[in-house]
Parts: sequence; C-alpha cells; structure tokens
Amino acid sequence: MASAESPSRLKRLRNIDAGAAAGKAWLETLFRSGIGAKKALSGFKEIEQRMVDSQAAGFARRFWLLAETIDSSDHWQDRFVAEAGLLYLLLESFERRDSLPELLREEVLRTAGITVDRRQLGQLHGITDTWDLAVQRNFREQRFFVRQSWLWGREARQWICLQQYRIATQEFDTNYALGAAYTGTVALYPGSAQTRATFLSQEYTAFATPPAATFGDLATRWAELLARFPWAEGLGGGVAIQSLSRDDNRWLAQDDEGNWFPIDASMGWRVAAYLGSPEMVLFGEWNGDRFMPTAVSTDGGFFPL
Amino acid sequence: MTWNEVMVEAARGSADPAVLLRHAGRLGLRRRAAAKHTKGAEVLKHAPSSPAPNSEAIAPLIRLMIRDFPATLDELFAELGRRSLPLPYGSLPEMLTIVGKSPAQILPLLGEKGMWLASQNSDWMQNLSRAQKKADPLADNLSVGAREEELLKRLKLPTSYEEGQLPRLLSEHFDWSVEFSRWVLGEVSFQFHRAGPPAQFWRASAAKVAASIHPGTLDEAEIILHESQAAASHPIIKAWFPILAVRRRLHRFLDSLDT
Repeated sequence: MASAESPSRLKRLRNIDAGAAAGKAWLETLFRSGIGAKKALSGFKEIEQRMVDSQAAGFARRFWLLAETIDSSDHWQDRFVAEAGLLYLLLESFERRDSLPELLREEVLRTAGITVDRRQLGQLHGITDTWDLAVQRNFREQRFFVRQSWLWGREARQWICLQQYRIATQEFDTNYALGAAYTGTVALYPGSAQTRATFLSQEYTAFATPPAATFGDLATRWAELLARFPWAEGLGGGVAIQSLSRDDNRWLAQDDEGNWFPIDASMGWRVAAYLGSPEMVLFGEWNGDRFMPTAVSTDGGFFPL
Repeated sequence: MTWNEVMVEAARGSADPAVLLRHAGRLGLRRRAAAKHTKGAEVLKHAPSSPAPNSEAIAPLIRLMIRDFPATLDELFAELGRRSLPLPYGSLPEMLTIVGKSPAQILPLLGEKGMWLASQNSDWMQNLSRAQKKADPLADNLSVGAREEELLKRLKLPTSYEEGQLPRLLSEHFDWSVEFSRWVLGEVSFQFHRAGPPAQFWRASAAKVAASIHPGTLDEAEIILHESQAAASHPIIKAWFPILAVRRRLHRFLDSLDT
C-alpha cells in the first residue's frame, strides 16, 4: 500500500504519524494524572497547535471538540472520558491504517485531515436523484462557520450529508436552503460511512417532505453507521412524534411507538409550540446524545425551526 | 471494566492510561450506539389540536424581526390583526417572552395555541398576567376606523425640528400615512450628506424611519439609498438596508396571502 504513495504524500503521512504519537502521549499524560482536578485539564491549545503543525487539521479539530465538552453540561465528565477514549482509538487507527479495511482506512485518513481532491470525486460513481433538503444545522467551529445539510434521495431512499465551510468574510460557495430540493448527481466521499457527499450537478426543484421514521429506525441506522465508522458525528432523519416531556431543562420527545428520546433543550419550547398539529414530524440530526431538530412538518407544511 | 470503573480511574489517574483510554473509547462507543431513554417527569398534555396557521411560513422572519429589528414589529402586529391571522406557532415562545412590551398588540394574536403554551411555563404565565393588566384598554376598544381617524389627527406635518414635534411623532406607534412618509423621505434625502442637527436627527432616527414609512413608499426609500452613493458605513445605509429587506419579505408574504 505505502509503496504506491507519492513522496509528498508519504512525507505528510509521516508528519501526521508523528502528530498522532504526540496526541496519544498527551492523552496518556492527562489520564495518568487523572481528570479529577480541574487544573489538569489544560494545554488543549498547545496540543491543537501541535496537530496543525503535523498537517493533521482533522485531529486538531477533534482535540478542540474534546476541549469544548468541558463544563458543557451537568454530566460533562462522562462525555469527556468517552470522547477522549474515542480520540485515542482514532489516533491508534491512523497509526495502524495499513491493517484497516480499505473503506475504513479512507475514512480515517479523511478524519485526520487528508481531504479528497474534488477532481477525484468527479470520477466516482454518481447517484442521480431528486434530493430534498430537510435538515440543516449552522454552527461555528474554531474560526469556521459550518453548514451541515442532510438531503433525502427520493429514489435512492437514503440520507446524504453536505458539509460547507466558510470564514467570516466569505459566503458559502452555494446557498443550499432548508426546505428546497435539487435534482442532480451526487458523489459520495470514498469511505465506510457513505453519508458525506457533494453535488456534481444540481438544479433547483420543488420540495417534497421526506418520509418519517420511528426513533427506533433512526437509532438502528445510527448503530449501523457507528459499526461502519465508529467516529461518525451525526445522522440526519425525520421522526414522527406524539408528545413531549421535560425535567427542568431536559426535553424528551415520544415517537409513534412510544419510545422517548432526548431533544436539544434549546429547541424544546419551539417544538412544543407545534404539539397538537396533525401528523407532526421532527427533522433533525441525532448524535448519540440528543436529537437536534431543525425543522418540523405537519399536514400544513414544512417549517424551519 | 465497567463504565463506573473507567470513570473512577479516569478521575484519580491510571498507572496504565493507554489501557484505560482504550476501555473508555470502546465503552463510550457502546454508550453512543445505545439509545434507551425514559420520559421526563412532566408530560405536556392537552395541546389544542389545530393545524399551523397560514402565517406559519414567516415564523423564521418574525424571529429575526424580534431578535434584530424590533422596530418592525408594530407593522407586523397591525398587518396580522387586519387579516385576523394569529401569530405563527414557531414565533410563540419569543412572543410570550416579549408580550409585556406590546401587550395590546400581542395578546389578541396569541390564539388558543399561544395561551396553551403559556400555561405550560410559569415564567410565561407571569408575563401574560402582567401583560393583561398593562394592556391599554383604549387601544383595545378603538375600532379600525377610529384608529385611522386618530392617525389623521396626529400626523399633521411638523413645521420645525426645534418644536420637538418630530421626536414625538416618530415615537408614535400608529401607522404613517403615505403623505407623511414621503415628507420624511424628502427630509432624509435632503439631509443625507449634510452636517448639523437636522442631519444628525435623521441619522439617529434611521432605524425608526425605515421601520415606519408606509409600505407604499418602500420603493422610494430604496431609490434614495441607491442615489445617495454613500458608503456602506453611513448610518442611514447601515440601518435602512436590512430593515427595508425584512419589510419587503414581510409584504411579499402578505401579498401572497391576498392574491
């Protein structure tokens, strides 16, 4: 495998290997001293910069995300330890990439920050369909504004994810809108997750609300995604809901089968305002911790939240 | 290792952190993949069963107006009231938060769903109760005809800046007539690049003017912006562009309901 690599790519991979080793050593030092004392949780900026210096922007982002979990909720320590463990396994996977199945290796390389050349994507097998954009999250990560859109293929019957990045002074290259649909060809990024995609061609068309699922269906798809790629961060979809409950600032929604699942607390009241609407479906992204609704559909239409 | 054992060791420190981190990663992955949850203590019940109103499509626009352009809300309330449209469901949480600021306008637009939603949140119930006490009974009792008559009385053209009539007029909640709007736009245009107290007054009032001019004069306001050739940092340009755009979107939607 390694013999087919160009010299510049080999050099970069060696740099990232050194970064991965440094990242692992940093995590080991942290967990050797223990995270019980808050002052132990320092030095994230330095390790993030170390990853950048190693040409591993993806690992730098993962360390940044890990730092963001500190004090992010009442039980942040559980999330921190789980994410630190997953990051450690990711760094190890990068080091032993040559022993991984090819598709998983592709995904791990991209997670490290080795992007796929757009010209290469054009040569991949495309899926031509009409894609309904039913989930869209806009958020900030480090110095980037990120737009993550999930689209449902009417014939392909699968959800794909478009990720767009911009800095403050720029616009997104294409303004994909929540509640719009596009007929065109997408290429899925090579890898085991098979969710991230890019449009090779597209034309605006009339939106149709994608079908709803139960939370059990979504959770099954999520578990399957994690089995293919353990470091997946989210999965888009729509869940028909019947009811809501809350404990202080913790919100849960109930699906058609009676299952309860947590939804993002910042959207609780906005979702509650639609309770009682016939055929209510929440569209959003599940990340294993909570469902982040970005739109609701009822028999009266599809509405961004 | 169980998850609890991982957490205990993570807190106090581990002699073999690599092994601990691998356990944490594997168990953490299982926790992410599992999806068993129990309901919260309080289930929201008895929501009125009703489809979202016709105004629902502008819920995101209304949220933007509340957050960034509150000066445009008077027009929204008046237009929804005129068409007997309730507030979109997607704007109710924000409206129940600000109901005390414009009780006479917001209360009649909350509808059955708004009242139900307020009943689920003690803070909103308090807001509602205070707003109901504060609502101006005169405003509630005035018919549309009486309001227009009142308007005509108030919107006499001012004669000078010094008399303090303009600030009073500009702070009124009532709709501006086409005639008054055109007079204001003429003054703004004349003072656009000048210095002195009148120019300063119009710059300070730029947001209010953009939010209050009669919708039939929005084109004229945009012509003034275009012809001014002023820099993007000019206070009138900065205030007018987004507000006029928001009002355009609102009127495009209202026109679509009327046709």
